[in-house]
Amino acid sequence: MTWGNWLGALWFLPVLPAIVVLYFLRLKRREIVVSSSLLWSRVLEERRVNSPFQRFRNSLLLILQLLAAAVLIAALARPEIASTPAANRTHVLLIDVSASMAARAGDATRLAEAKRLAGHYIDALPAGERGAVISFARRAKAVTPVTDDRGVLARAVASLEVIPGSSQIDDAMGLAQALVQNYLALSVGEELGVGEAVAVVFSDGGFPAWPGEGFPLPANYIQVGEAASNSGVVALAARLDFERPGTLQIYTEVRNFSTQPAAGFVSILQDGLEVKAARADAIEAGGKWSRSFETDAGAGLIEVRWQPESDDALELDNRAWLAVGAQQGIKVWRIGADNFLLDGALAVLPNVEVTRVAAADVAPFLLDGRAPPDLLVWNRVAPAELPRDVPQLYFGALPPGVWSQEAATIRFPPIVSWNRGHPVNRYLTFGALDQSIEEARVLKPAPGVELLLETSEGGLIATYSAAGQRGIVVSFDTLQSNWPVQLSFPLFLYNAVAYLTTAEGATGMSLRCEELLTVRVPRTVKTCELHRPDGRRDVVEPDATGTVRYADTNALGPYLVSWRPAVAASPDIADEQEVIPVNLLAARESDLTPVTRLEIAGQQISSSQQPRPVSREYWPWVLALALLVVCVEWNFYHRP
Amino acid sequence: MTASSSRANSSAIRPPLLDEDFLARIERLSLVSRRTVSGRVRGERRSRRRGFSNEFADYRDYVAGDDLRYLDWNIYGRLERLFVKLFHEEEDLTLSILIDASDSMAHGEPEKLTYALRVAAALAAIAITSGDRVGLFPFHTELLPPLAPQRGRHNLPRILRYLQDVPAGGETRLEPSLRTFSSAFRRRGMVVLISDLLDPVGFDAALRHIGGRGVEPFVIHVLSPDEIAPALTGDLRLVDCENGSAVEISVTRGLLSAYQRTVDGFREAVRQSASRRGIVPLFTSTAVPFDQLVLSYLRTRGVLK
Repeated sequence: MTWGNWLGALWFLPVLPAIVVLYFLRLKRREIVVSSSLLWSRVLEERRVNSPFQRFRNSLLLILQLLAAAVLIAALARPEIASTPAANRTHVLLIDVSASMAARAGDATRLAEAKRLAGHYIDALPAGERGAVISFARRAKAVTPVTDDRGVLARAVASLEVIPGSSQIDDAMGLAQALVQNYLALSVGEELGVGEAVAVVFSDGGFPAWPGEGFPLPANYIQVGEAASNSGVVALAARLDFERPGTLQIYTEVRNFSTQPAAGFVSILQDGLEVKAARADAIEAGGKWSRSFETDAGAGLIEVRWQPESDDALELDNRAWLAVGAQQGIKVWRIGADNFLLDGALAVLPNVEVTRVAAADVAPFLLDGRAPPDLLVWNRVAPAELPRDVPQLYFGALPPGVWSQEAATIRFPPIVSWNRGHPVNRYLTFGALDQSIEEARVLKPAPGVELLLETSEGGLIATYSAAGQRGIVVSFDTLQSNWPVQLSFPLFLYNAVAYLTTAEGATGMSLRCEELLTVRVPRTVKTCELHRPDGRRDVVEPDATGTVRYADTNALGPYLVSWRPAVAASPDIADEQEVIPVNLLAARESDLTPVTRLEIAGQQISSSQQPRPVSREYWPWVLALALLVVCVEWNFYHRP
Repeated sequence: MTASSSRANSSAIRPPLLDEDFLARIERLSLVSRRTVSGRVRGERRSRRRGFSNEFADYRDYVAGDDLRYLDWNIYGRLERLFVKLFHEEEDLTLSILIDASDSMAHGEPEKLTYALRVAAALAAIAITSGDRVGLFPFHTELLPPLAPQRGRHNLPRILRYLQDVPAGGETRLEPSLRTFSSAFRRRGMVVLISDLLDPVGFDAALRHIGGRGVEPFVIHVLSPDEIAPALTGDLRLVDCENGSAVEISVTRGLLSAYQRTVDGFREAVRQSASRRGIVPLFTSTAVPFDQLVLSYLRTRGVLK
């Protein structure tokens, strides 16, 4: 037994002699006149009560009071019992499988070391106690339920593999809480309290602190791995230079997490071929090396390789990838009435290709499965049915299904306000439009609608978004206002096109491990083939909106999604494909300095190679004992 | 209750010790003497002295002047000698009652002294109505002025009045009091000592003064219920009402048990001491109604018939 607050209890020790002193001071005996003290004297003579020790012996009340005070002081000292061998406990083993656990530790990896320690822990579980295994990196996974089958636990631990992503303990602790609570809920008839469950974290500690919430689950920490030298790529970005078509700017950063200077080579590969290389000399301990490369290779799969010359314990962070789309213009279809001012403004937008299309041709074109345009711009005309999946910009017309076509009109509306925080209104002022619009429709607020420009009756410009449809509505004909000659008009067009279209094709993109991979394909595509970087192939099916979703991104490298266009089911037509790489790019994982103290639920938990015994406080029981002693004392005091 | 208050209570006017009903019930009782005793007048007791009564004792030769009614003519017919029949002469009995009137007797609920006086009154009334003599000898530190042996029913009110006025007070000093009685007043007959015997000096030496030749001694040991089984709790200071000495006790179950053993031992010591001296010990508690003691217990023990 240990004492959680024995120093505090020492302050109360003088209470004991004080009770003795008070006992003798307060011992005011009741005086009774008796016929003779002869017989009582004989009794006392026999019992020799005149000696102080005899008085102590006979004074049961004093002894009980001293005992009660002593027990209370003991309770204040917070007695604890290390309860590792306590029976009926549930041990939730949280095993870190993040990228840093792939670092070399001697002849094996940190994960192998964690598995070995977890195996020992499972072997040492006292009979009758249970366990569960949870692996965690970015997300947590319950590998086993709560079970007392040592074999199941051991096999689950042995099956764990590294997921090369960053790690977070939040999900793991939440999952551990849920497992324990479920077990508590199912354990009808068993007396299992909070103190009978413990989370044991096997990790190198490379994750953020967890503030703790919900079920108070005590945690132990078994640190895995020692400090190791490592350097790796922590940042990679690329973008196409629009001013110099075909020029790709690549930014990369390498950081040295060792205690010694590091050096090495950085290679830039595009579609497997090295296009640039540089030597990083003497990156000081804890320092970084960054460089911008320019290539004229255009779009493609960019790979950065870091080849350190010094010892490097983790290889996962030595490579990173980016998929850079072809520099394609934004395809805009202009539909509806002529408006030379609108067309002129669209024409000067950078990287925008405007095509005039008749309103009647829009629907058939979109249905034939060909690649849709990036934006539809409707002027004073609206389709009968709103096309899905293509963003739209309306001038002087209302999209069907969002507002009533019989919306009220307003003449020369005053400008009341505009949403200055919206990206479409960036750098814009609408003051010049005040009472200068001849006629406009009033856009009433509705679900999914955000008003960008408001008059007294409602909106004049608004965004809408509902069920795969999104767009911007200008409720008046620009030719019935002075807006086209204002500076705000081309700026509005620039912002609106940028807002409604994505610029993904223009810059490199990548995901982190365990992030959801999404690819938009034509809705006519039924199945896609996904080639994982580890060589595995999966077949995935797009949903009704033509979106492919893939969550099992647990390997680093490029994921290639390919599909065959349905309208051109000819063997001569090549499959279309899209590459999305998954990177580590996590400085916390690359930093292999083990953390000796975790902060979980506001408590600093020291690392220990041995299962840390969980102290169970017994002061409530000691307090109950003190109360019992007081009750006995009370009983004796009032006994006739 | 303090010593002074108890004394005040004892000196208060006592209720009549005996009522008419009780006196009627004891009319047919008399003292039982297991020995032949001598008295000064011919009474109802068998005397060692040969005399004339209904109970034959012996023969002696006739001398001139003897009452011819007591000649045994049958012997004369056979032996031709004159013999006079001798009978046990029935004499009156002297009952000496020693009453402990110390302060300790003024304690108890009911009060021991009152109880003792009522017992003494009952015994005296029985004796008087039987034609015996009754002497009363109250004492505490020393023997108080006694009531000399009285005879005749007409003295019963006087005896009762004397008992009614016996004062309580002083420490118990058995030995000097009983020694004085023995040397100055002891007569053949019955001696009854009524006391709690709570003398710090002891009672053994004192008891020898009430025994002896020609005396049939009794000791009635009176204790009150709170002396036999005290109902005490807590931390107490017990003050002796006679000498003011005090003892401090913390009442526990063990202490009460020890006290009970001490009381039993004290009574056993009384029994042994009395038996050694031919004294009949009688033990009673003031919780026992005194009429029950007189009408039942004393008859059972052969004191009365």
